[in-house]
Amino acid sequence: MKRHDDLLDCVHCGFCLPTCPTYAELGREMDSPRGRLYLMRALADKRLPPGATVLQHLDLCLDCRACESACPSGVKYGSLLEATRAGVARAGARPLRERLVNRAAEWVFPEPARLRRLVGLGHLARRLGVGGLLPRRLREALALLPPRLPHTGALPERTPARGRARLRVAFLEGCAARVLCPEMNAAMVSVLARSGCEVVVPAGQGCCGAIHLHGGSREAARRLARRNVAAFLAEAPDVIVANAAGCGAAMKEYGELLADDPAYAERARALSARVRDFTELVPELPGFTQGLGPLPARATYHDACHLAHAQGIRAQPRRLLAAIPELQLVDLPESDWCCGSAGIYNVTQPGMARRLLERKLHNIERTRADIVVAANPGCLLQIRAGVRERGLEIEVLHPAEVLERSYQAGERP
Amino acid sequence: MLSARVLRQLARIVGSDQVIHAPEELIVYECDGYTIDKACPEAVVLPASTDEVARVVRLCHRERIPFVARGAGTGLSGGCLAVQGGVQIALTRMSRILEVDLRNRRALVEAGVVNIHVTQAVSQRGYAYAPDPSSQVASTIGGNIAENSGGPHTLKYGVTANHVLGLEMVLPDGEVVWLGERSGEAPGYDLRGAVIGSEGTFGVVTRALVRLIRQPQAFRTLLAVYDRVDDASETVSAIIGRGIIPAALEMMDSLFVQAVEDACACGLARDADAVLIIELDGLEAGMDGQARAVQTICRERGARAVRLAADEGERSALWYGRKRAFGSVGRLSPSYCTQDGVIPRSQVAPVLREVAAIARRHNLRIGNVFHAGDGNLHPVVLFDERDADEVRRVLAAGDEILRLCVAKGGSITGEHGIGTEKIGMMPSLFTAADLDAMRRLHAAFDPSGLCNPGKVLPPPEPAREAPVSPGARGGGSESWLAALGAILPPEALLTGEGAAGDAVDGVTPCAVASPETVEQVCAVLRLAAEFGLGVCPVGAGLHRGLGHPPRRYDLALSLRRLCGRIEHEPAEMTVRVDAGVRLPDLNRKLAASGQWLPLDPPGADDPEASGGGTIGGILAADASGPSRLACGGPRDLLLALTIALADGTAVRSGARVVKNVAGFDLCRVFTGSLGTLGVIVEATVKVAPLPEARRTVAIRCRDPRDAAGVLERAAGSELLPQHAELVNPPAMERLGLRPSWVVALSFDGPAETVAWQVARARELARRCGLQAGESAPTVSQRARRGLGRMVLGTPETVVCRASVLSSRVPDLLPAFRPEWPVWAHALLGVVRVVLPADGNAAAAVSRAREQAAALGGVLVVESAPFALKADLDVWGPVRPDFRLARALKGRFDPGGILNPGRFVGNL
Repeated sequence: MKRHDDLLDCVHCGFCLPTCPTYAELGREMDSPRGRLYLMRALADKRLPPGATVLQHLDLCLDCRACESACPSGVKYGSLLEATRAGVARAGARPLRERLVNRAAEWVFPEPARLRRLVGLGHLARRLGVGGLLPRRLREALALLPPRLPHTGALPERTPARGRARLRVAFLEGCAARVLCPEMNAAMVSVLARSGCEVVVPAGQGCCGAIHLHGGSREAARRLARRNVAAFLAEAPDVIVANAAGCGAAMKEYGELLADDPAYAERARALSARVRDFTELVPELPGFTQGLGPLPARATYHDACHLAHAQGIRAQPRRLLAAIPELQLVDLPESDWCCGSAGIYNVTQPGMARRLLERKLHNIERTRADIVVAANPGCLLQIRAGVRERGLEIEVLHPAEVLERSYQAGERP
Repeated sequence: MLSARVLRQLARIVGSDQVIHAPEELIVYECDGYTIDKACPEAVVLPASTDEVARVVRLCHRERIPFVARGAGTGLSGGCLAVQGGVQIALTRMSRILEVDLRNRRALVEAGVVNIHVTQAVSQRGYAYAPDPSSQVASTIGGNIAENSGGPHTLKYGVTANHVLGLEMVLPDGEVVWLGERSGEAPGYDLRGAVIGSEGTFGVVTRALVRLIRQPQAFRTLLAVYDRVDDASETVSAIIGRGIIPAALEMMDSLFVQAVEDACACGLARDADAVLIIELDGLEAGMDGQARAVQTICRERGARAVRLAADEGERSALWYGRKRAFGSVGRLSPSYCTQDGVIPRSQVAPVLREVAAIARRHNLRIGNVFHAGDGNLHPVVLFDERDADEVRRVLAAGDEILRLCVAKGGSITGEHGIGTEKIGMMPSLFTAADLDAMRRLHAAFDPSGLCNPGKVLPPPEPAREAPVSPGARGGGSESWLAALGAILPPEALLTGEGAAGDAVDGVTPCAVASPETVEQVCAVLRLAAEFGLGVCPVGAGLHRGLGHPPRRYDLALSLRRLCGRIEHEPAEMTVRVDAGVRLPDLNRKLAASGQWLPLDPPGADDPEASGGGTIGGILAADASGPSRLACGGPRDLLLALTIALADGTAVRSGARVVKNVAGFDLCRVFTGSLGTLGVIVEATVKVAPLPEARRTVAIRCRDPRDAAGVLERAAGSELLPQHAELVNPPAMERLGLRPSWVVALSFDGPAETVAWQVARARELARRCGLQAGESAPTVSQRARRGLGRMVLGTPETVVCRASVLSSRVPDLLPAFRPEWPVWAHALLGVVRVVLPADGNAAAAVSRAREQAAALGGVLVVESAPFALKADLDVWGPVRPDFRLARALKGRFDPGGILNPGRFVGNL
């Protein structure tokens, strides 16, 4: 009944409504956080069977958790949704097609080799000009791929700190980022090393399990979490840096996810306590501003949902960018509004993902920025694809990439 | 269940993806922010335009399907529940801000716009939409209009009704009408005012024209911490009693302090028994003095600590916490139920003690977070809705709390509405006659009863007395005069020559009845109804020239002798007065306590003009003067009315508290109805502290263009004038002053604030290259009274009153001949012009009216000699919503005995 009690935390005040991207687009109560909680409660109370219609509304949720930021009652929306999705999965109520998409994603993403092969197929389809024949979901996914797959130089297992090592950092390189934006990872490692961190990339690490958790595969997520607990703690790091917002948020919740596993509970809590997002850690490092060179450009910052809403990280990335000489930082309207990427959302819900991307691009264009900064690979891929499609002269970068450029500018004589 | 055919038709109107009818989807629409009652609609539609709403409503009307509008579903009394099933019309997709006009301080928005989005759209340019209910981050303007929402800052700025100028509405039969102002104030019943707070039962509001205010230049936000709730309560009265009107004055008890701290750690003192959040706003000059005064009062009343928010961050942290107070209750208990009673603010301490006793008796936890400055309590009862016994106790305790509020002279709801929640309580607040009057108002809008049925009013009780049948008794004037003689003492009845003084448009009544009590007024009206007499209610006679000549005029009903009572409550800043009390007499009495009723219609505040206007007359004519700019008009100041209806029943609307949304608002409808719906016999109004200083800057202009430039700058400046007047050379000549165009700006308030504004006004004139001088108070008062007398009308003059957008006032001036005196409340867009009553008058009036109309405004003839009236269209063309006005008149005065034929459209 614990879950049901948590559902009762919602007092139906409606403060979450205007912060919910799907509600803002559709205006329907069922596609708002309050409405979804009401549906979850109806499921829990057995007033409703877990039928396709209810699921459709639960699945349209981006899991961006903007509602949690807005909720005065502290409703744990994200975990309630995950629990409900898991229950629905157990009941076998999800249509086969949806299940297949979820399983496929869970099968592909954690394995770089599979992802790389799939990306290769995608590029082939594009070259052959048969992309248009694919179903919409695959087409949308295809559009996200960078025109060329970046070179895939693996991160070194250990990167020494420049100067005296102050911290030992274990780095989560992320399944998709490893394949789709390795230059972002490289920049993060470089910046950390410049700021006095010794960076290790634990060999045994794997997928954080967030995709599984959001899709309702709770057991699979727990298996992956156990693997990471073992792999990361083996390196005895001071801090664990996650390269993606969603992964960091998931790892910060390992303690909770494995709370009832006697063999792992304590270690999972210990791991969670050490997890920091890259943008959370760097501004805390003494002297990270030293050596920053001028970067004359107009930049705007997009808040990744799982940073702003799930982890409450808003000020730090901005502080980080504000430290860069000559970089003009302008406000992005609706900066903490989901871009539609949301894990595998643009594959599962291509229509809504598209609407949110359009909204985001519209806001970006209003800022007249040269650089859009986003601290999450999913957002980077999504916004880059949109920018490419509209033919905009805008760069889309991770804060680490911006910092790295600034350092490099500082090194120039 | 709706038939497949109806669903198909709905889909044809709004699109099939905008019709929700699956039970597993409809379930989320079964309640709003009030979760105790639940009712599922049979379909929800999401229209995208007024036209789609109208077509849906027409379909419902044709098929006899109940319908109800829904905004964000944040209401707290179940107002949008589909209690009889049918169609719910969700306006969430109609969320565009259509026009923003900062010069005239207004915005046109769709009903589904979220409250705070309006402010967000204009805040960068220094403006805001004032009503700020705690739900403002989510609730919609349409929903705010339905509930007449308040919020913390209503203490100073008023409620939704004070900030919605006009609205577009789909009537329950599907016709689309515009009610209220658009770009000029059209004469007629205040149907806009009737709709605001009608809880969505009069139709579906689709657009609103809202007023924007200048964002305050400065804020001082204080947090006062108390160890005793009583001390906090007493501080509230003490601050207001000192003549300081904070923008907000909020109180939270220990239970809420802790919940809010858990939710957002905004820096309240966790161990406090109560805290007050006191916000002052306005001009920077003089603000520190006021803040110091408030701090002193808090300490004197036992505050343990008083903290002034150091910066905008600290200020917004406090408000962030306050506005999330209700939501944070989720941390304390699974369910909660908020009461919304209102009491006179001086009663806060004893009432809170009794609320605590009620909580103990029912073994419940009750927390308080409320608008202490308004006396608007929000006892929040915590419970678990799965515990049936506890739910029963919650409802019983809620009942007791509201009865307590009623017993203290308050109301059962200050801002949340009646909805389904408090219907059962209505008879404890209103008599059967009061409720019947509300039913008549409702029936004028929704005779079919399909629009949001089952809300606000309980089902009618069977009538105990036989209704008056109009015109049932026959006979000549001797028989009704004899009957009248039996009701009134001889000195209260004048006939023959004695009645000539109350002639209207040359028609002398057979008799003048001057009752001294409400009962006598009712008896006279009952008799008039039975004999089918034409009755004109009369007061001081200042507005006697207004309107068409009466179609029938047998009896003058004078309220002049109904003037015995002035009940002033200085600590409440309210006064209850008989309708016949004269404004100068009232203000003399209020001045003894340092207060005044801030109304100054032409002549009404001038003892030399027929002794000054009566309160009843001012309200009936909705007469206002220059101070409306800063203080609002009669409608904005009115709290409660007692009205003698045409059938002789006395009904009451409103209450003696500053905030009240219980039942339909007859006050706004009767204000400005010119005695055609009933006779105002008693009123309770808000009063204001007398300003410490009033100074006037007169700016002499070479021509109207100069004046326009000055006004343009004043409108865009930070100045907060009490008056902003424009006078032309002939009017100056009438006053015996040097003829020229003059813009006169008056400033009221603390001496320091006024001094700053005077300096700024002079600077403004200098920048326009003009000469500014300060007028002595006696000079400016004499000028204002002189202008007032000038526009009261004489047999030689025709007085017209035009209403246009403030920015268009200069464009209206060319419509007048240079020798006609003109006086304008320029920033209100009200222009009065005096014409000679000669053979050209009719043509001149119609030319001026055309010019006003071309600017989007209207023109009314306020006074004209009777001989000319036949040629003059005194009211101008009737509005498209005239059908509603006629229906209203028919419901309230079916026999047509009150002021027959005099009002707009010869009603």
